[in-house]
Amino acid sequence: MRKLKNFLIFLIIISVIGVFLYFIFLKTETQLEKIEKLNDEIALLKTEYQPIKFKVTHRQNGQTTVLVKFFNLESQEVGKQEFTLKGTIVSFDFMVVQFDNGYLALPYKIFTDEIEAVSGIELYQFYEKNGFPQTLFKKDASNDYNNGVKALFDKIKSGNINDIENIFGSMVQNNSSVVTNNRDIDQWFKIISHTAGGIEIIEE
Amino acid sequence: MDKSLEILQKINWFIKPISDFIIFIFTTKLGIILFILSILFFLWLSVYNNLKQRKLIYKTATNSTKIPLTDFFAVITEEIIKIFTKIISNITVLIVVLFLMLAIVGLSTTFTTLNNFFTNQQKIKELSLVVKNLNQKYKVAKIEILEFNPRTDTTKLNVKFFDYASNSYIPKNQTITIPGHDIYFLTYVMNFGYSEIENGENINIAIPYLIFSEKLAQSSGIHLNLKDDDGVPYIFHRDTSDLYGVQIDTYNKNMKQIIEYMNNPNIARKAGIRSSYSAAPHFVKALRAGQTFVIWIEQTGGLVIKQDD
Repeated sequence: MRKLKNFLIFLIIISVIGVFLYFIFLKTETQLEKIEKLNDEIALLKTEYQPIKFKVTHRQNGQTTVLVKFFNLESQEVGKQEFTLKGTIVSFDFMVVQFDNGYLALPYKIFTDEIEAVSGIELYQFYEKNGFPQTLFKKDASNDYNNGVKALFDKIKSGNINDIENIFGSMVQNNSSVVTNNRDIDQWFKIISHTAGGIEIIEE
Repeated sequence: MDKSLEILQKINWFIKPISDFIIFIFTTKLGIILFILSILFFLWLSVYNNLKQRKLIYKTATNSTKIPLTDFFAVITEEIIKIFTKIISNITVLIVVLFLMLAIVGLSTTFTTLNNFFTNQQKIKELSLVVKNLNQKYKVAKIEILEFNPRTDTTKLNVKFFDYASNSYIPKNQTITIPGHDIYFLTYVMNFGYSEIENGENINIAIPYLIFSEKLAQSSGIHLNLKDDDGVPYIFHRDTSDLYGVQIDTYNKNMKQIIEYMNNPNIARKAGIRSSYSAAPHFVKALRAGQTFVIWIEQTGGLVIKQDD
């Protein structure tokens, strides 16, 4: 009788440990899913693409010549153009707009410290093809993505932006110290766009 | 908890290989084949030894080394029966060994599961912190539209800077009237590398210094020159903790260091700064009096401007 009682206690202990381990095992599965989700979130936050690369080729008599290359999301060159502008600091203006779970940046204008933005050169024509901004082209993109981007681009291009909920302009340029020392001559700089909406210039 | 986990890991370091071996032998095809082969080898050894002894007996008795086929099979059958008898007579020991093996496997699985659970928990904590730090954004300035005159296309606005030393907007503000309605806020930006941001060691730096518009070129822009009681522009009013890791202890040194980073990319890179440039977020939609915008610096890099709700 005593042996049976001990055996029953042993069985209960084993069962409790088993159930506890089963729940821990289930929890581990949930943990792994959460880790994967967090890794995806980090990857999304770190996602960046380079719509533009530029290089100042020369600066003379108050004018600056800059070579601009446009790239798609696959990092393939989709267009290039040389601009000679009055002024010394070249500014690249973007339209930054929310799309899906991040922001997209569309190169908008190029101007300088001497040129008012309103008189800047619009950049759309240099990377548009069949009404689609090639800087946002990606292989295997869904129809929803292509149609959504195209519709957004149409609105922005026509200046019909007041009904776009999250849109703002973002201009970037090299610091005056880089320009004053002519450190930007023949040096490539890439303009990086982040999913959170920020844009930055990084020296190559 | 960490210490207990460490002890568990140490115990598991010893029992896990045994557990893995038991699992391999009894649950994999190769393991089962090896197990059967070793039993057969043991049987063969026993038969071989027995046959050797029989041969000696025969040699002594008949002067012949050949064993009759019937005897040969008798020896094999005898050995098999012997093994089974041994198994049956030692069944208790065998059951104990079996339970011992099960206990080792169970214990090791328990330790591994617990170890995975706590390791995952730690990993989730670390990754959540990385997400939080990367997702973070900091206020730079607040812009209040006081007046917009569509007839003359001029905008009157108030600029307030966010002071990290007091964690609030500076009460003083700068009122500016500017031609145009698309207002650009030119700002020095320094972005640190992801590794510096992920662990929360640094926050990106943004110092707004000039305002211009679509109708006013940058060279004719209006300087932001709100000054504190010591005559220092608020745009440079930063708490030293904002430049954590840069190793600056005085205010003037801060400024000198920032300027050095702007001028010397090599020094900046060594300090973990990924990029240093100027950026100007601006409104592109129609303006109206009463609107408020906030400029933010994103920890992933760059500035954004958003309407304050």
